[in-house]
This record gives sequence, C-alpha cells and structure tokens, in this order.
Amino acid sequence: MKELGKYLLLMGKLLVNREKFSTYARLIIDEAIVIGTDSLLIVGIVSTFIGAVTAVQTAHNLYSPIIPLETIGSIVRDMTLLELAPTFTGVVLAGKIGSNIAGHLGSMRITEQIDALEVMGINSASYLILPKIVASLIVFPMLVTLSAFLGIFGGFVAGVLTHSLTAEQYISGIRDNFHGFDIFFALIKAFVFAFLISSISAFRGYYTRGGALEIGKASTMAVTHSCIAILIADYLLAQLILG
Amino acid sequence: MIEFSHLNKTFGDKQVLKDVSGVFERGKTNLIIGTSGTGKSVLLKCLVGIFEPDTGEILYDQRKFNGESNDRKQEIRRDIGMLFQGGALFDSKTVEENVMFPLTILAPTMSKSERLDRVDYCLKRVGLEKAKKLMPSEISGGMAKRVGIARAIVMQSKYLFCDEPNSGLDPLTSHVIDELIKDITHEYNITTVVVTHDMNSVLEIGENIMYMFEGENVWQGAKENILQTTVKPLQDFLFANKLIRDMER
Repeated sequence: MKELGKYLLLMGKLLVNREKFSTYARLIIDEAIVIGTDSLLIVGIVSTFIGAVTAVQTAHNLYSPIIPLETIGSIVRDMTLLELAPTFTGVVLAGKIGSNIAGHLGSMRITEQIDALEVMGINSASYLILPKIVASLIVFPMLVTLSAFLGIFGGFVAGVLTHSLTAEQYISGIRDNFHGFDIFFALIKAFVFAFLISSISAFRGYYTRGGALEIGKASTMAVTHSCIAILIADYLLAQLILG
Repeated sequence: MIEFSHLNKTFGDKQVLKDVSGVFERGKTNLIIGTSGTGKSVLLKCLVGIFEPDTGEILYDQRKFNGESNDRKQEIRRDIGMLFQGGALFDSKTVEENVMFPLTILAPTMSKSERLDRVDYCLKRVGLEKAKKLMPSEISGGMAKRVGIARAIVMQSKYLFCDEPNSGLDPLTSHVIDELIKDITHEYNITTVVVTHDMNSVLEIGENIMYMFEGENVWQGAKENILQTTVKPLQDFLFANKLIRDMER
C-alpha cells in the first residue's frame, strides 16, 4: 500500500509546477520516435507469427464438416483484435520499453542527473516522466493497430500456404459478422496498457537507490510489475466493457 | 550569504544532522570538511533543497528557503548552481548542450545567439571551448567536472555548491578545479560552498571552514585559525594529513 501511495503521489507530481508546453513538445516527439521505431520490428515479428500460429492451430482443431472453413478467419480476427494484438503487444513492450524507461531513469538517478534537474529548479518527475507517458499513449495504439493488421495478415499467409483454407474463404471469414467496436476495444486496451507500462516503469526507475545492481533490479521489477498490471487490467476491461 | 540554524535531519532511526547552524559568506569559498559519513553531503543537499530538513531554517540572503512553497523555492533555486561529485552531466547531450540546458529551460526568452554566446563564454572560462561538441562519455573525469562548473555558472548563479569536486581526480587536475572554483568565487563575488575531505583543497581554497563531526558543526572559522584549534576531532582530522604534520614541524 505504501508503494501504491508513493506511485500515486509521483503521478500527482507530474502535473504540478510543469515547464512550458513547448519544452515538452520536443521531448514527446523524441520519445515517440524512440518508442515507435525501436519497437516496430519486434512487434511486427511477434504479431505476424502469433496470427499465423492461431490460424494453423484453429484449422487443426476444426474437424467438423458442418463448420465452414471461413470460421478460421473469423476466429483469427476476433482473437487478434480482442486479445492477442493489445495484450501481446503490451507484454512485448513492457519488456522492451518498460525496461528501457526504468534503466534510463535509474541510471539518471544513480549518476545524480535527476538531482541536478531538481537543483536547477526543474520538476524532474514532470520533465522526465510526462513525455514518456504521453509518447506511449500516442505510439502504443499505433503499434497495436499495426499488430492487429499483421496478426490477421500472418493468419492469412499461414492458412493459405498450409492449404487449410483458400484466400477467398479467409477474407470472407474476417469480413463475416464483423463488429467495429472490437477495434475500439483494442484501442482502449492499448491506451490503458500504455499508461500502465510507462508509469510503472518510470516509477521503478525514478526511485532507484544504490548502484548498477539496483538499476538491473529496477528494470526487472518494472517489467514484472507492468506485465502483472497488464493482465489484471486486461481482465477488468473485458469484464467491465464486454462482460 | 547563506545562513542556516538548528538543522536536523533523520533517515529512519539514524540522525544524520544534529542541530547544525552556520553562516556561509558571500565572495568566499566556504568549506564543509570532515571524515566520511559525518553528514557533509546531507547538509549540502538540505541547503540546495534535494533533502528537506526535519527542523531548522535556511536563509538565502534573508530569503527563507526550506518549508516554503514550490514557487518560492524555484525562485531561489534558479540562483543556485551545483557541481556534483560525478559531474552529473546529461549523457544524451553534448558538452555544449549540457551547459546550455539551464538556459533553454529557465531562460526561454533569451535568443539562441545570446545563449550560444553565454555558453561559449562559460566553456572558455573553464578552458573547454574545444570540447563543446563532445559527448560526456568522450571526456575525462576532470573535464566533466569543469563542464559541471560551466553549467553551474551559466545562469549567473549567486550561490555555487560543489560536492567533493576533487573526488577521483589526480592531484594536478584537482589543483586546476580548486583554482577554478576560487577564481570564479572572487570574480563573480558569489557564495561558494564546497564539501571536501581533501586537505590540499582546504589549504588552497578554504577561506571560511566548517568542520563536521558525527552530524554536528563542531568548529567554524577562518583557515588561518584552523591549526590553532583545540577541538580534538578536528585535530585528529588535521594531523592525519602528512602535509599538516610537516607544516607543524
């Protein structure tokens, strides 16, 4: 509970005594570029293969002649949009971006760079953390959208190449009974996960104490806590919005 | 001038500062000396606002600092420059960007050419005008300290704090840093506070010296009087240094 209180106080500190907006604009763009470009490859690879595996395994389990093969496309689409794209992207980014944020802030803390900002009269929490959170809120939904597209595309390639179904059947399947709300739901998840990953990792890094060993510990804790938070939020969102 | 009275600071169940009072004068290099773990750096961090003292009062030229609103504190903090033990340079910025950083954030109305001129002047003052495009990872420890000094004076600070400026430096580089701190103090008539346990620095730049022992200010006075001290812990501290022993002989 003490840690939760400290985390909430830090979040509150982000919004008081901020510098001018123009100061943050450049930082947000820089962070967004780093988070986006650094994550494109891993998100692309993971999403494509997850979609492909979902298609192949769904086809393997569909032996009933009364279930049309188009169902494979529908299942890949729904699983990708509702769960795989936001959650897998979240977990992958918790590992990649979360550890990066915690490591960066931890190292700044240990080398007194954060103290230097404070002595200059700059709100270090706001200056360092706010741009990371805002950049994550901008970039994560884009990455989740890309992940959903690549996941469905991966399912298409795998399904057609393994002759589980034809291209027409797959496309018909992904168009059949489509709910636009599923995309909206995936984007809500992306926003929530973006905030959780960036803020939890920043919290872990910002309060690092000690030396190089503690930076490693902070990074590990950032990833672990972010993943747990993602899974809890995933369940709560499903229950609240779809339940 | 910086005045502080009855400062106490506790971490957990360990009281690090015990009713510490003192005055740091303008235009002088004020030294806080003492053995490791006596609370020198904690006192310095209380003075600059990194730590909030549990009790006591800190005044910057009669302006109250601790316990004040954030806006009031920020106003005073913008007059403070600090050199950290490791330099605390931002590792993603070049030397020039590091020195320019306070101006970029705290003086947004200043034109870019004015900022560049000010940065060039400060880098020249610390003898690093040719290193401005280098990254912190490409410069030596001594150079990093000099960049730290340039960054600390770029806002034309009234108060300069230095936390163990000689740590990890060879004697020659230490001497260069000491001379720079002394010259800048006199040139700009600022209040400089240096935390050190290096006796060479004490003898070279110390003008007003405060000796801390187990969290207390046990002696404060001019360098000329330090060797006549009758305070036992200070005598032990001084005579542990060969240079002082030789001087005494």
